[in-house]
Amino acid sequence: MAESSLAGAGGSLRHPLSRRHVLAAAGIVAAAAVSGCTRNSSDRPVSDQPSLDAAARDRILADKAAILATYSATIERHPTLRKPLDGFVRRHTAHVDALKRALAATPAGSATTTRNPHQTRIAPQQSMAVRALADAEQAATERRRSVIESALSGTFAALVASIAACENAHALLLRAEADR
Amino acid sequence: MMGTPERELAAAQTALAAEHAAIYGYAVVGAHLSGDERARAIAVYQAHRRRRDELARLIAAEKQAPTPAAAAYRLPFAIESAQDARKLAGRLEDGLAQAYAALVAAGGKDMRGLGAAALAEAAATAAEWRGSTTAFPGLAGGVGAN
Repeated sequence: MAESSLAGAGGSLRHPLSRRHVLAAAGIVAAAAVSGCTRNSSDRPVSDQPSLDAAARDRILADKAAILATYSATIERHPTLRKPLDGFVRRHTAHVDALKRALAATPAGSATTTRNPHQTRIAPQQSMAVRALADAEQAATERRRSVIESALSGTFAALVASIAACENAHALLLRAEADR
Repeated sequence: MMGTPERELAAAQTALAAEHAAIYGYAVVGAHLSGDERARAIAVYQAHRRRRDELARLIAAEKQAPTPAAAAYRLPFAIESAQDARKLAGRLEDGLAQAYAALVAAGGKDMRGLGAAALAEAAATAAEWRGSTTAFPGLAGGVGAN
């Protein structure tokens, strides 16, 4: 599978490839995976799935609310960070939206955080504050692991894994920003 | 890789094919970079070789033949500069991210762990090459806004 497997672009092939591989490289398999397939759908009572996965989703939503509060407090303390951090905030907000739409049969509760942003101590030094956000993102990535491994729905596990991957990329980008 | 359902194995083979492609691609990437970036490309290349070997071992343990590498791969665009090389590296990581997200969706506990770790690594490496990330690495169409 020549061109497609290399970079996800379509194109003619020098090497014969199965349709599955072509589709995978184009991202279509992944898309199908998140739009419908459910692990264990045949051997688990359907009723287990909403409660267990929804509880995990609600925990992640509460976690996200705390992370967003920390971003708010950081921007309040260091207003010049508003622009560089804007994309990070938008991506977390997109995660919240996707999580709320996930597992549609069990609507998400209203996610609240017990952590008051004004109680979050933000370092007076800008680079330290950004590094603290990087650490928070890294910790978030690691907290997702058990949910990914134990989720009953494969679709939900893939969504959480993607969110965790974004948080991992955030940690890297924030460290680069802190070192700037 | 216990109990390996067919879907999990197929997803593992797809991820292995993506690793083969990435290994080929990173050899090209490295050849067009210099200094620290070249060293980084070589380190990533080696990490992908380790991941390839790990997947091949898991697949072989299930008495399946691991998907072999293609003899050659056509590049998606001409690589003539360091900028092209970085762009290709980002695309290679995107392809891997998609394959690993699918592996998480199809896999049992162990394969999900492997898939999630590899997906997180692909997203961070892509961010390194591009200086930016998307909201939903590996999920084509982005599950909403990116």
